[in-house]
Amino acid sequence: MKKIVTIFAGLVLSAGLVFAQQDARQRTIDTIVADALAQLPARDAEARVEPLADLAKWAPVSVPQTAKLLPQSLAEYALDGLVTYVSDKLDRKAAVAEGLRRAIAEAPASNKQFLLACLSRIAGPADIDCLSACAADPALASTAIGTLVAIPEAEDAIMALIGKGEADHSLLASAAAKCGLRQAEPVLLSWNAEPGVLEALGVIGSEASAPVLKAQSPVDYARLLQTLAADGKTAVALKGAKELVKSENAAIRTAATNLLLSAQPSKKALPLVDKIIADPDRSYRVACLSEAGKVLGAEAVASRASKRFKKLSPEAAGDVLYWAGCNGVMGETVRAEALAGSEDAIEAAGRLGQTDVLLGLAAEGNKAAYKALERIPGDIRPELLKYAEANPGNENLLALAGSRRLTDLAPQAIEMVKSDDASVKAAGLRVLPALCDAKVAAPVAALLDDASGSDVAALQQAYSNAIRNLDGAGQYSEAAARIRTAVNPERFYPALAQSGSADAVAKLAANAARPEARQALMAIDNPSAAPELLRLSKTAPEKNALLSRYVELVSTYESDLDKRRVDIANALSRSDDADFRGKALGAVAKIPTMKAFLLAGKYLDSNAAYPAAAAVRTIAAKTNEEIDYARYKEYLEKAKAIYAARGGADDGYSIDQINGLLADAEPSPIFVLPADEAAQGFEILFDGTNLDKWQGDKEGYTPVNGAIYVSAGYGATGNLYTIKEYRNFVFRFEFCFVREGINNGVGIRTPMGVDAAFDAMCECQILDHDAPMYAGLHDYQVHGSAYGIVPAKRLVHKPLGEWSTEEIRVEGDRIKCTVNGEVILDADLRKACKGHAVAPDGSNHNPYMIDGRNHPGLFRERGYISFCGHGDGLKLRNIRVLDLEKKKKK
Amino acid sequence: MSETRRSFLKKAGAGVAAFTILPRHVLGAMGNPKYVAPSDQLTRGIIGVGGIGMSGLHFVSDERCRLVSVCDVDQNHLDRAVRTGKERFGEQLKAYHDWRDLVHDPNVDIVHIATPSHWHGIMAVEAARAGKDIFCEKPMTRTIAEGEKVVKAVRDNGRIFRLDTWFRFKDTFYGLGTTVEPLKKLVSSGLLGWPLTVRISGATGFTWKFFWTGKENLVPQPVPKELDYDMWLGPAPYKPYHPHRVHQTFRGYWDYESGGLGDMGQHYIDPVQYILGKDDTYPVRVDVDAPQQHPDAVGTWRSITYTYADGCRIILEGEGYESKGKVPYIEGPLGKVYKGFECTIPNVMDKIAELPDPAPRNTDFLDCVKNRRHFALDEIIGHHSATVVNIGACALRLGRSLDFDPVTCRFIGDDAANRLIDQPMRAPWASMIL
Repeated sequence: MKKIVTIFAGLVLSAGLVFAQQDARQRTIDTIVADALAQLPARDAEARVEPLADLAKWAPVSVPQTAKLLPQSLAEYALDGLVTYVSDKLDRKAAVAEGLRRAIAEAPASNKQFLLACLSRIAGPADIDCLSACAADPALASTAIGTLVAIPEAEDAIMALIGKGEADHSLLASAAAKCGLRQAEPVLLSWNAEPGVLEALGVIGSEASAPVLKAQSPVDYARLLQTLAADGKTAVALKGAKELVKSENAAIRTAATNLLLSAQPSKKALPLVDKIIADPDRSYRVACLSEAGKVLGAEAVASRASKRFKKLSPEAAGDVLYWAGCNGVMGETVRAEALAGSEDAIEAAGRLGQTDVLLGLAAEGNKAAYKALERIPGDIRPELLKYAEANPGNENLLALAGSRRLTDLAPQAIEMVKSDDASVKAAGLRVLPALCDAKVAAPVAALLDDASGSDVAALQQAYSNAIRNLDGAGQYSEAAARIRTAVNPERFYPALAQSGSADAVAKLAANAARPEARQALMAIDNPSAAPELLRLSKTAPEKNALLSRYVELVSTYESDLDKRRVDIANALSRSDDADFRGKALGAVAKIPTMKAFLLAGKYLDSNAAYPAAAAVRTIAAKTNEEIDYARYKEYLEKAKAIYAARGGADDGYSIDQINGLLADAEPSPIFVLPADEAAQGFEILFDGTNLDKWQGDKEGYTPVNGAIYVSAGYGATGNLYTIKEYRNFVFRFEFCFVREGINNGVGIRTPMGVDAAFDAMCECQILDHDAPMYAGLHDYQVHGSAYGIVPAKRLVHKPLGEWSTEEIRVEGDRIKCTVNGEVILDADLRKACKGHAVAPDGSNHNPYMIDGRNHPGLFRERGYISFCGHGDGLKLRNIRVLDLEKKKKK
Repeated sequence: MSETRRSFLKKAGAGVAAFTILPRHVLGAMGNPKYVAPSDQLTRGIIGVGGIGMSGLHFVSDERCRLVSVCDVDQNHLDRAVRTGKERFGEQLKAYHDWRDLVHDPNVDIVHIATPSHWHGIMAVEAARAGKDIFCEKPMTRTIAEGEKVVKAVRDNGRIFRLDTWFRFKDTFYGLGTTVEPLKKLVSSGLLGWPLTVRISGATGFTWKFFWTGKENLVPQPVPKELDYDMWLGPAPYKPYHPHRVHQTFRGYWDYESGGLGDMGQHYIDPVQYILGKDDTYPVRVDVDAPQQHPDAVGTWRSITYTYADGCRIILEGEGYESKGKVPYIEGPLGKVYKGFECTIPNVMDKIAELPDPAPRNTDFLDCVKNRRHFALDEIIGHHSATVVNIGACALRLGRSLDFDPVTCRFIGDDAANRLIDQPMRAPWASMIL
């Protein structure tokens, strides 16, 4: 191996870069590249190591070889991945860069940009010449020059490009600025009329640039002054800044002042504060005061500002106070001004945590102080308690106490509620609820029972709050005890509801004739309320509210998604109110199933079209289930139109999402009869698209992408029947088990609405008989059996998800069943039971029948062909029939 | 240098002094409390009148702030905006094709940047230099270096900046069923313990909009005549036109943004920076689990995990890779908070009420402009959360873990990652953000 590598290396270095050899695994370079590409894009960081390490090993040739495949996206993955992979591997990086340089030289113009972008991410000193050469190409200049900027050793090369001046001047100017190439200034000055050059001169210029910038672009001149100051040319910078401060443009004045603040010793800068805070231009004043604080220190600025404070205009004083509040300074000024009633000072006092000042003001009814205390970043509880106790019955203080849950003050509020003075009482009712805890449950309950009408709501809230921190059972028993003795028991229903207990549901349901009980039932958070709500919705005037709450509860507590869907669909069928439908469809949207999709789709043309569109879109994006393409497309297109009509910004997002979903979906295949069957006269019963030739349970049997998906349950209603009846026929179809343990069957000559196993000629069993759940199966129950009459040969089913073909041929009393080409049943049913479909003695025990039962339908002359549903997970397709009677007539 | 509208008004005012000293109620709309004098009314221009710029939230004009001009590189967008302005609020909007003209329009006080994000940095810097206040849509900038330039320009020129996401101070925070404030109080109180892990995932009520992925190998299409594609690209590398690159779907391309992470990242992460008290710092490490990314088209990812120096973590879970079972939004050694503010700490709301509030914040942007106060989500905070997003985007782009120095704001020991921090730009835009 070593020898081969040596030969290879020699070739790379000398012989015209042809990879004529093979690697250790006897692979040519084409194979190495192909092998690597086959493993990309990698699913994670680990998976990319092998292919990329392979490419990296032979980089000088593998890269140009891969580049030839551009613009294929696999080549893009490979080259970009390779660059990333080697970018932290010094030993490999150079070889990949070399390969890229070579590829750039060879590549057609259309691929150069991509390759250069790859190189730009790992380029080093060795790539400077290549990048310089690319700089002259307008299509490559920005990447090339931008990359040179990132290579510290490239300064000379950039200067050389600037000297030549062939590449874009604004790019070169920005490169000079980014690299701090001061020596570029003379050339840039000669380009001063070109875009982007003055900006660069602001960053790297000297005094020589000053006149030009001053005349042409004050904002860049301000920047130049910063540069000069940083260079130590303070005097020039300050002189310029002092002139600029006279500008009419607040932004430029600000920039100049910022320079004056930072470029001078603080002793000299500090007096500027006087001018700043007295300046009539607010944007300048505020910005520079903030900058002064940062540069000179808030304390120093504050002491300066305090001295001038009295002379300021009210607006300027307000700005200073705000700044003081944010910076935690000028406490004395703020305090004095706040006490004098300045709202700016009060706000600042809040930020400074001057709780005492604010509480005093709030106690006097000052709104601004109250507001500041509501949002104060400190613990005000101890002082608040002190103030409230000193000022009993003060609404502001008690309201603050409520928001801080200072429940010790509840008795004060209770006293206020008992007052004869209407305004005191009203204030008490406003503050009491937030102050209540279990300690005052009894007095509050007494007040509630006694209260006059308009006071009830506040006291109900107070009582509910009082018991809120008990557990559910505790809340229930507390409230139930009050109800037993109360004059107005219904006033305690909200508290009962708050308990959330099932006992509360029962109690409220028993009193549901009262509107208060119905309201409380709607508030209760317990799944057992759901059936009660549904029941009440039939008669109670609050139909839509009850149904909405029902849907909420079902959506929250019913974890079986299909049951949840059925429940919501049931609720939806009971009201056409648009708001209710919107709510219910919102709940449907959270069910990511095919059936939920179909349910939501039904409302796309209704008065709840918008929420239906949202549901359809959400489910389509989330579901893992197959949805029939025709329905999928129809509903999503409708949803798209609904979003387009609404036309908001988020609607645009939704439309994009739908477009993406539709682009990923594929139409269902349509079944066409094979030529021989067509010639024989077969008729298609299901071609993959619709159930037009069927009747019965079209909910449990739905067309999904070319197949009928069966989710029907057991029983006479879970069956799908042909439209026509048949006597002698050949019935062909394909079936596929989606999950283990599938059970279904084909009803032969069956009437409608019966159990085909007994009331039809027979049911030809469809069963995943190998599932462990069927371990105790009778042989007359296995797949293909004429159920209970004649056992079929036990076949071995294909794995889940694979399709099998089946043919059932019925002629006279004969039935023949062939699966995947193998005949598993061929029997004369009349002979099998010796002519005794039912027991000769009229009893339920039929000794002639293998299952010992009566099969009264066995001798039926004709009937429908049916599928007999016994649960979810079967797929059927390509269903066709040959009617042998018809053929005979011909 | 262009005069600002204010200085113009001031000068004009000298000739009509009597006019300006009349009390406000005499000036017009007598008795209408909503009346705002023209000199108190702010004006705004929108750059980019596509989806976001035209949305009901932003395409508005009222007494406090009049919409006066619009700009777009798509003539259809521009025509639609002018038409809508006339219909909706009877305003003859000034229409610009070149955003620089809008930025330097003396009649505009506030520049509203609603373009794709590869333009945000350049436009914000130029607006600040022109003395405008700035309302910028999220994500703030596409690279970390651009954000640094915006911060400097806004500070140098004394401007007011707002980044437009709002969950840190307003509205129910997605699946959390609560505003951010109580979470902030709970976290600051230490009741959950420390360090904390925040999970931003479908399991906690957040969606990453993975439909914002790009397409590989687009076949070039002719540029529609209404679109100035070169101006649309601006600083971004030239790539042949395809409709999927522009307008509603541009986010799926690294040249302009970084997919769902770029779109929703700042929305989701900005409040977390606030909740965790990280507004003045950055994570020190980011780990990423994702399939290899295409160099042009942004793809999906399984998870992105940020770790701060103190051990706090933010875990982003991609769609389809959410944790199973009941998953807390915030988890600490002493407690957990779930969707809908369900918390393992008993009586948590009462406990929160007893706690001190976080510092008050200025959440009315127009007030901030008028009173020259920093907005609750200003350029500095915005740059911090945008940087968290961009750190993640760099790790995703490279498909590897990265260590980040929160002081120098550069990756440690990864040159390739650092080259993503400041990327080449096309002329003449490269020199507009120095």
